[in-house]
Amino acid sequence: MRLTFAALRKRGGRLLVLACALAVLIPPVTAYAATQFTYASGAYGVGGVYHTTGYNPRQYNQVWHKSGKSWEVWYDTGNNAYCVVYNSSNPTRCGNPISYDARAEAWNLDDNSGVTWTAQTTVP
Amino acid sequence: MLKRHWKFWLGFSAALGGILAIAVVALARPSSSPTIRAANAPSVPAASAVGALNRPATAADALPPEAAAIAGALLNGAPSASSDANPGSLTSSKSRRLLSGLGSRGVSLYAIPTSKGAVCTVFSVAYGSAGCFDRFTDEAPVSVDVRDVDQVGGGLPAIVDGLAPSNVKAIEVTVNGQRHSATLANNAFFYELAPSSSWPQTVTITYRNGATRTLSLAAAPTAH
Repeated sequence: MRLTFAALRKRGGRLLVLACALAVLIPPVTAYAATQFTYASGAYGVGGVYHTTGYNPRQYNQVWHKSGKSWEVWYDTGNNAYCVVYNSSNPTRCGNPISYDARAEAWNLDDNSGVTWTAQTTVP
Repeated sequence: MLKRHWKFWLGFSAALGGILAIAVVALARPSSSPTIRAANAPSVPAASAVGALNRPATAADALPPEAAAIAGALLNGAPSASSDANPGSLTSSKSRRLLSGLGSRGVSLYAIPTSKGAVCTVFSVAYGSAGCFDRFTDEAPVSVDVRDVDQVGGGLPAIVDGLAPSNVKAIEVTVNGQRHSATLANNAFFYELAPSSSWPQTVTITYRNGATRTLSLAAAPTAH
């Protein structure tokens, strides 16, 4: 089949429209692929280990808290701990996703500040 | 009377002098004990303590795309601005590169100030963000971040990083009883554990006045 210049232009135009449509549609789909939720919140509770009830793949695991107070967060698959982060910065955050089913966990090491802390992660 | 009791006064003076000499030596000697604290950690806002944030920017200070994306996602889910758990909004245009060529991945570490005077740190690749730190205090004389972004003991080794005020001369990380010097420059430090090691136990700070202080680190969790 022989394509004329006009036919090529027409096909190119359609491809351009398709590309624009994908560019508009794909990012929102990606952005809403995971939903953030709070799995624990409170004040004080030094020594407490808080975790999600379910096991899921997750995008991140973080705790907002008073800076200077130490927390540790990680993913627990039941067999292994992944993405363990320990610090006194705010948020204490593992920003790396996990593709295995895992609980998100957070450990309050010394946060007796009285400032409300909030532990968050995602579900697919 | 003095003449009569000269032996007593001579002995008393010698004993007193001895006690004073021991006290002076004990106080002047730099502490090498992990249990003795250096009394030189006044509360200092992190943004004013990190000198690089106050120098003119260079081309190397701009956040590379991956670091910019990490910084952009960092404050998702932050509590309300009035909360003490909100670090403030990021001023990414004022980022500064503190360290580069770090560890087996050759990563860089950037500092970003916030509207509340905190300093957030972001890696160029692999490790994400170590969060935001608002001030150096006696309780938190340096910001210490320990992270193993994959399975503990496998894949990428754990790293120890953080911010330190200018009166810190050296940072050492103890792993299985062995002390290792961290890279320290521009108020930031970094150490990557050996692949065979899993988790560090302590961080020892050496101050410019010779005093030392050792911070114990929380253990890595075990799955259950």
